[in-house]
Amino acid sequence: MAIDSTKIIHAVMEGSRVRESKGIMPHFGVYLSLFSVQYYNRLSFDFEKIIGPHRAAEAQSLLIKAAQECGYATFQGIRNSWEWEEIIKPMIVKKEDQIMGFAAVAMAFSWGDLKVEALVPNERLVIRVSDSYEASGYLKDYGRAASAKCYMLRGVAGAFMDLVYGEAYPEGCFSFVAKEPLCRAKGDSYCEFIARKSPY
Amino acid sequence: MGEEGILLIYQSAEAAIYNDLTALLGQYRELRTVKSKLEMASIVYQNCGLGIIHPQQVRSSGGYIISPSSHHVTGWLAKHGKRDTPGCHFPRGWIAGALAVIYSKPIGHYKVAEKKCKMMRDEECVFYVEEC
Repeated sequence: MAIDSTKIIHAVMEGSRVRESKGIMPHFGVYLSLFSVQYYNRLSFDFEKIIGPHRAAEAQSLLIKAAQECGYATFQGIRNSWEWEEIIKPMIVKKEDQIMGFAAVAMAFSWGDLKVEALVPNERLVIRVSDSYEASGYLKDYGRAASAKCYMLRGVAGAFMDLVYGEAYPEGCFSFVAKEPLCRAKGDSYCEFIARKSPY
Repeated sequence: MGEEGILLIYQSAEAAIYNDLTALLGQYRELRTVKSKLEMASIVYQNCGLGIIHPQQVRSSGGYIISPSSHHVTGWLAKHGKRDTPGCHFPRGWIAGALAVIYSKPIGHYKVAEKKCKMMRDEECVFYVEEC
């Protein structure tokens, strides 16, 4: 059975209406929250600014690693949830299908319209996104960027590969590393993320 | 980053909710009283999965907000365990921004300190609001 992204997105959207009495949103094995992308973008881009241009690479690396670690733990929780077991697992035929399932859940979280363009098992993942909130936010508040700006999705692309092809959780984080050769924030028509095995 | 990092979280949350709540209350013009706007803010907080907040004797000059449940506390304790210092920087900024909207003040009008924090294993988080 192919991965039915629409069914997954509907399941996440439906479940995210549930609030327990403490105002916490437990869903798909993790605690969700809804908040403005303005917050996340300002955190990232002002963080870069505060760190300073002479340490830009270090700031970007920290942001990407934070996203990858978070994506790794979050999607491990999602993969072990009863919702995954009930809704997504029956659609999974081969190992690679997990990545399609992850991408559908990420879309439901409004992280962007993730489209898996290519997947070479244990080697390379290519994801395209035409509406990354980071690229949109950067363009809106800071103008055209000189370099790619979608740190969160870059980390998440690596995390997807870590979970499927890395060592068993929690040892496999950072087995892969993603680059973003194309980014709307720097004038490309879409953002593209390519995850490959980490050389380190 | 120390204090600068804390301020970044606080001010980012403050600015985001200031914009969002301004837009939301603009759509619900029937909410005229401070009481109803405070209730709306609490509902928004809960509906966003951020936890529970209860305004206590809040006036335009400030007051206390109690939070018996928090997304950020739950997440922090699960990953890092008990803290020695208050850690709810996001909720502090959120409260400052929301109260500025509710009392028609400019952003940055209020400062919010956390007097008790569940991350330190206090019973609840207690936020003290005052004018800057």
